[in-house]
Amino acid sequence: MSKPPAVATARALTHWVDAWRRFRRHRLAVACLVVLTLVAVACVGGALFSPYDYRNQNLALGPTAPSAAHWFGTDVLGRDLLTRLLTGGCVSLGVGLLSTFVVLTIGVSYGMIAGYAGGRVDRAMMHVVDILYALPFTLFIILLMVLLQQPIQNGLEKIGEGAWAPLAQLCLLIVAIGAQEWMNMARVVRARTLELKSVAFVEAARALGRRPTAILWRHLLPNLAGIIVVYATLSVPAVILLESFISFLGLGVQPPLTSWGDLIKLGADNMEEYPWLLIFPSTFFFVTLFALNFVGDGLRDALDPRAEKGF
Amino acid sequence: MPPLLRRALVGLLEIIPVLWAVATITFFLSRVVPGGPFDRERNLTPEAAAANSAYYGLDQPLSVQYELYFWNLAHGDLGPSYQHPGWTVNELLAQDAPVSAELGAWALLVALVVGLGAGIVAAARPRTWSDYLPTGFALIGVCLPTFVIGPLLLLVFGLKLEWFNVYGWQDASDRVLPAITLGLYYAGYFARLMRGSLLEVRGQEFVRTAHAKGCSPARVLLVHMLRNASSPVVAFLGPTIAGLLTGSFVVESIFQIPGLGRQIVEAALAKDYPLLLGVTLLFTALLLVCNWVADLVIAALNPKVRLE
Repeated sequence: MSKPPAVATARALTHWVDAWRRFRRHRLAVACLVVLTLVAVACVGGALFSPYDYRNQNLALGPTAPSAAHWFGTDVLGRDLLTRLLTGGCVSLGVGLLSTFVVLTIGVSYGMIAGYAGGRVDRAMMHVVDILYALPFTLFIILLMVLLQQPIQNGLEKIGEGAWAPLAQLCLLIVAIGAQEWMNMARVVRARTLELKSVAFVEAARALGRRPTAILWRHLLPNLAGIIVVYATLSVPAVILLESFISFLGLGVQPPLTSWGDLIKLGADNMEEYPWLLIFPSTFFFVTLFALNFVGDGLRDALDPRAEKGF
Repeated sequence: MPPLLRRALVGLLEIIPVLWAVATITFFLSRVVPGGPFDRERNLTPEAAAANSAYYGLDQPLSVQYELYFWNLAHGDLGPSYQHPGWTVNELLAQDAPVSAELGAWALLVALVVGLGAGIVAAARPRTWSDYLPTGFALIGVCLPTFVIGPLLLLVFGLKLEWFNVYGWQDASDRVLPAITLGLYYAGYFARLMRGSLLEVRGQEFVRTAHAKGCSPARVLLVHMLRNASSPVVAFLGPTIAGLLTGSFVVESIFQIPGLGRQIVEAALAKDYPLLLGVTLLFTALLLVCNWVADLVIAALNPKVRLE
């Protein structure tokens, strides 16, 4: 009968410390985390401190091969490729993080409500997810981007803020991507909520008369934190991929803003004469995606031991 | 009624309201939002604009338009295209769909042959080089999206080595690079799935029995284990077909293949709403049917699901 609160904090602490120890054993995941941190720091640092501006065209210079002045060369309009690559990285990673936040908000609340409500409500809610799963969302996103491009532009011009249109469209893209990717999260969260619901501490809370919202927020959410972190991490590469896919098609970020998908598109258009325009963005994209996948796998092994193992 | 037939009918009945909902939402989105393909033609006189609207029925009240659209839809008519005057969406789809279907079929072949082959080889001797090599290959496949691998393949094999034509869809050899580009990601995914589920099956009793009664290792792997490990692969076929459909947008744009995918991207950039709506509905219907079939196949394979 000694000090229950102290025991509780100690156990909560060791859980995360334990997870960190398990994660560290996964050598490749740790290496990938380091690579990912380097890429992220380089993107933010490069975008802030580069001597060049990603928008500044230098038509007299034109496309040049990598040199001492321009490490990764310049593009068709004479813009420094490294600076554009790092700025585009900020956009791609930023969209990845923000869309994941959308995924998190929708997926976690939907999954928790379905799991906690149980019964008919649960069945109906998960049936909706099953149906949504089978729809071609990428096509809906394209449709949405196409349909809303003009109204956004017009609306912002009307209030004299036309310059914000690319950014507004980016926000639309973030929400649309998040709306496509939340279903996995909802499924996982719902399954774990169903399990946790019958555990003694939840029953105790209910017996004490706590309201359902309080039980969901204070009792269930902390216990779901592990798998939420794992599946949020795993959805980041999927989300980045989708953004790049749409930008590659020319329907995502609008110039002068850029992202990795947009840069790969520009590189692919000019690869015969200027192959570096394709090779550098592709390499950055591949390395980042690879690293993100492995960090996700490592986190899953560390925090969700019951999940199916990847490689 | 046998449970399998019941399941099939219930699934089929569910497809109709979903299709209707998708069609309604996309219709209202495209009509309510102001602006359209004719906005950019600045020199259009008001009379010409009005004539255009009248021709496409855009001057009618929304409810009349909606009724007309669904009346036509129920008869399988998707309306005229804005971008290609004189063409109906049906004609455009009928012209381009076979090309995309062929590309998809080749890509699926690549994904299944390469992916399942790599997965089986990897699972035969886990934690040796014959495991690490295909596993590593699968990983690279999963991390290289079509829009990265496509241009790179084109750069190396089309432009530098000149083994293949860079663009077009004429010769048999023109199928090679696009099919690999589109299929590689799914090859990687199938390899992962196959290896994982084979390794799961490996420890079970019936495998030990098969070994004990003197089956050759190849027979145990290919006959006994493979059949029991195949259901995740079947389950993933639905999402794969969805992915191949959307993946073809990029691949057809890169290799300039005259298929549905390229048509969609062009329609999106030119704001050809009827064409976009038509394609969206076609894909939705196709996917719903694919998932319905996949669900039935899984149910037929698995007695536990069948009897539920």
